[in-house]
Amino acid sequence: MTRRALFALLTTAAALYGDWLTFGGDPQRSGFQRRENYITQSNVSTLRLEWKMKLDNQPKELTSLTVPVIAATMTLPGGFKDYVVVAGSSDALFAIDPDTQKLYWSRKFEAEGAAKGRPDWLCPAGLNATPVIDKRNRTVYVITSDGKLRGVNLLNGEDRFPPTPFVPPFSKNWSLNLVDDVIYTTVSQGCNGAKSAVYAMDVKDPKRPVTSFLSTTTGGAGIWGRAGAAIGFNGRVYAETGDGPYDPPNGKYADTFLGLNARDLKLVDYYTPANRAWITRKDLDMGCISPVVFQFKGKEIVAGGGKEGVLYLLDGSALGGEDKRTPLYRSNLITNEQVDFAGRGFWGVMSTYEDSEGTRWLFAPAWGPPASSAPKFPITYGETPNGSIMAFKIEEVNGKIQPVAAWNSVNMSVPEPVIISNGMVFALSNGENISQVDNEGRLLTTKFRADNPAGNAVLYALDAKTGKVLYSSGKAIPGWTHFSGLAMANGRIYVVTHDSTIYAFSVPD
Amino acid sequence: MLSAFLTSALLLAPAWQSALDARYPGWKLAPVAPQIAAWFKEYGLGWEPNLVRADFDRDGREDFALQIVAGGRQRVIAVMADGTLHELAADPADSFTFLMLHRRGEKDFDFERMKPFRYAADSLGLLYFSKTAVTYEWRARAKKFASRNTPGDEEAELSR
Repeated sequence: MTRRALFALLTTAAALYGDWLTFGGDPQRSGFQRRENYITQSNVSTLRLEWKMKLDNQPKELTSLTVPVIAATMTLPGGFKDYVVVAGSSDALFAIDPDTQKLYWSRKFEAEGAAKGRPDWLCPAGLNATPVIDKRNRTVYVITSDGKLRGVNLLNGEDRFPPTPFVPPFSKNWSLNLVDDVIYTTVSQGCNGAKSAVYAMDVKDPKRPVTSFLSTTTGGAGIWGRAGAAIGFNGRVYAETGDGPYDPPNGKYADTFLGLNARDLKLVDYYTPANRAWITRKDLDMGCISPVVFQFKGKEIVAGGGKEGVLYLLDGSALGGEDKRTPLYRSNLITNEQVDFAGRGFWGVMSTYEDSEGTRWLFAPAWGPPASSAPKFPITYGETPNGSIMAFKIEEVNGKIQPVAAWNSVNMSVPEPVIISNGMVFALSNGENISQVDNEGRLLTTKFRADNPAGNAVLYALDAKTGKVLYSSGKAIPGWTHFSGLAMANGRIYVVTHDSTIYAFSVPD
Repeated sequence: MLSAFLTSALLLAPAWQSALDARYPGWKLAPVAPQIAAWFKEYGLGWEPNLVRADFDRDGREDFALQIVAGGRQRVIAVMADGTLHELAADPADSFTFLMLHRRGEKDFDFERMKPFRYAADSLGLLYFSKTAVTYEWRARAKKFASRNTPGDEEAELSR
């Protein structure tokens, strides 16, 4: 079987059952739920909170529950069952039966050792990475705070293998990805002295060998897009790095898109914007967002951005051209005209799908209002001072692939990465206080930020073609959430909040 | 990439031109990468990547800062209104290195001290593609520029 065929198989397997096995639903982080049979445009207005469950987890700073992952329609002796798996910052892991709202099982892992220094919201010293499910082998993989990979039986929570060192202990690591029996994650922020990197572990090999690519030999260049690394259809591993030293001959790749070989993580390509010096000087990290990968007109396209508020489209086979500084497409400034490093620009991960008419869409979580140089959105829904979902159609214009502005959503404070399904975009306004420093420049504490949220989390359903609001959860979710997202499978949409509560929304039978 | 406006502006200042010619025979404005030129245009920054006009010493008169190539090096030269020259930097040529103007009163963030601040006078930034940025501020008492590294937050963190 060719690698391409294997990837096709892996991506369609998820589509068959409506699984949501990994952050964004697939290794490319598209956010596209291909098979949703219950929630449609005609009934989405009846969406309501079906249940909520407080889980036994203690938030670590701003970090709490991960985005859920879901093995849908598991064939078991008792019938078909969904397994909703969510991990918690206090090294907890839960498997929930969404039909009975009961736990199948839960685990509280004992982490080995302790973090040096006092935790803060940049370095919470807790479990942070969204787990990934290997449905074929009925295994859930999760990294505990001590940097060890745990593989547990999806059905009963028992260990599949002993805890295995994967990433530096008490590092801050991000959503796991799984392709071809290799688990991937990324590391950022220098927590507990860990250097920023992409890590991989071959879980099929009994020795579970670990490979890594350090994005810097010193510090910085953090890879903190919450979706972690995206894996292309070509098998390449893509990541975006944040601020720090830049000196490629000496292994320092700040504010850069990386393209790595699968498995051995050898650097094969990269792209650094020509104005990198400005990006770094102004603290406009590109590492705040994970890339998303899609195919368009025979090319593999890597889309991303960062705090600067610029959108990039890169050719997956030649990220930065010969000089490593030439993208396929770089937009004008779309947001963050204020050049604000704390809570402006594109964050999280963009999402994408191709609609039934063959139009390729890209949905970008924008924090803050559109810039005056932003393309004119033909459809808008009022001012968006706090943020919005910006929708673009990917088109070929005069032989060049580029995004064309389609609509800008209602105001959101601030938007998480979206899910797309059945011609709808599901978005979450997270309600978080995203201020990082006070007027004197002092870092705000977790307590201050947690006690003074911007509001409450609100789930929206939008028409994918127009951005029109089809549903809003209003005050149904009293809490807020940090660096999160959505999950969707078999008629339910899941939201988690900082107070360790998971919410399930569905339409009435 | 030298605009006509920029060339004529320099030609109109014979005193400065001759001072530069005397000290840097055969000097030329440093070339600017097309991507940087395009980015400046997009942002409408109000100065050129290799030429900044400002009042660095707050004497009410316009000074210049230029990025030139002379003697095989890319140099940043401040040309004060009284005709004195100050060489601020000399590096290998790189068309991705550009100048930044920080206007008096402009707000910025000092990542070394983790504090916001405002510039007391027009100041000059030098942004390297592959090195930490440097800012040059006029010191009235010493009658010269003082430089300091102005890293982003991650680089500042590393130096702590």
